[in-house]
Amino acid sequence: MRWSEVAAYVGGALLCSLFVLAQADSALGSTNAIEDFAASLTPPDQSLWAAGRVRDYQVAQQTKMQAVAVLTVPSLKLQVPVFGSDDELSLNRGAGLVAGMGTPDGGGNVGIAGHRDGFFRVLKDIKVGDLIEVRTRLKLHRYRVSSIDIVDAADKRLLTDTELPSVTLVTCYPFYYLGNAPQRYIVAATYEWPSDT
Amino acid sequence: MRRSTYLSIIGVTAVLGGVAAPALAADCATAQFSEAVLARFPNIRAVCTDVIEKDGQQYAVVKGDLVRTGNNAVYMKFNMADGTKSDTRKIETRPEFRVKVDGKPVSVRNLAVGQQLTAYVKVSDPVIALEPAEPTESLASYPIQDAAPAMAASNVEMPHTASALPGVASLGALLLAFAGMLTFLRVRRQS
Repeated sequence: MRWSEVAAYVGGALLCSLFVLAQADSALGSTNAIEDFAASLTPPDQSLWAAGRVRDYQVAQQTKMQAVAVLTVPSLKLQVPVFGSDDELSLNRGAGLVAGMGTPDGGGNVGIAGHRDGFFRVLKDIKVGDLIEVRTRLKLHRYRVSSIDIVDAADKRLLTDTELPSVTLVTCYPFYYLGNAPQRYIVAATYEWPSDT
Repeated sequence: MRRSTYLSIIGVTAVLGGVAAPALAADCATAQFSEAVLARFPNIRAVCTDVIEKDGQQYAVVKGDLVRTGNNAVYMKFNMADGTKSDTRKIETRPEFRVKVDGKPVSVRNLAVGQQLTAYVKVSDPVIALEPAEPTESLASYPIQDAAPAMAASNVEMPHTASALPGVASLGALLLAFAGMLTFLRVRRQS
């Protein structure tokens, strides 16, 4: 066997292994983040814990990569953890809040980004009027899809702040494209007020 | 005492009671809002749901939805009498101040948009205060601010939602296919 043959086998196997590992991290990381988030909604009874153990538990909770919310689109059967950042690791394990935009509990236009070849690929089937739910530790927020747009990757108009709470889901477009997709798929949804329902 | 005397006493009591009642309790329509309050909050009568007395002062009760939280402030849209919402109002407060949400005390730092809050507008002065969690707590009043939506400056970058993983997988598959082709050619040449 020649050296070029060996190098191609090794390189190909390494790259494919990297892909498989990333996929496994995505699936496990997402599931664990949703389970951790659900557990955090009902924190354990620490009344009998030693003070040091309570401190250690709090430190462990803070250092863990924890989801700040869980995004659900019932019509698409999509449930994905939302992390506080839209960096590569966060987007591999779920969706991420877009820096500089609103937050689900704080209001404004909440930007949530996800990979088009991952959790957000199902967004290709979302429709105007579909329900979007964002569960934080404080509240379940409901939004209704108001528009779906495909814009240039440099067009940030749909990410501007809004007076009333809203959510904007962002992913790349076309959904099936090798390399950096030239466009963005933007799903905008407006808040459903509990007092109106 | 004769029956006519009884009736006279009852009549006088009723008349006096009727005269005295408006002086003791006002409602949203009759509350004497000061000029300063009306200037700062022109639609106060439309959003007022009740008038209460606290610490010897009259306050108009206003209820609405929390639309945004900020540093030491919350932004609310109040329910109008016709079912619509008012313009957005900023109410100053403190993060540790506790308000009542669904009957439970919640500190301001733990509020979330979509929750319903109650605030008090002083009838005689242009100040507003969030309803405290406990009725015995004193109000923390702040000047009523002009209606203005809270909008953050837009310096947002479009997120990078393109993953390198499909490219990595494709390159890996290509390399494996190339290696397989080399093996095939080598075996064929040898045989």
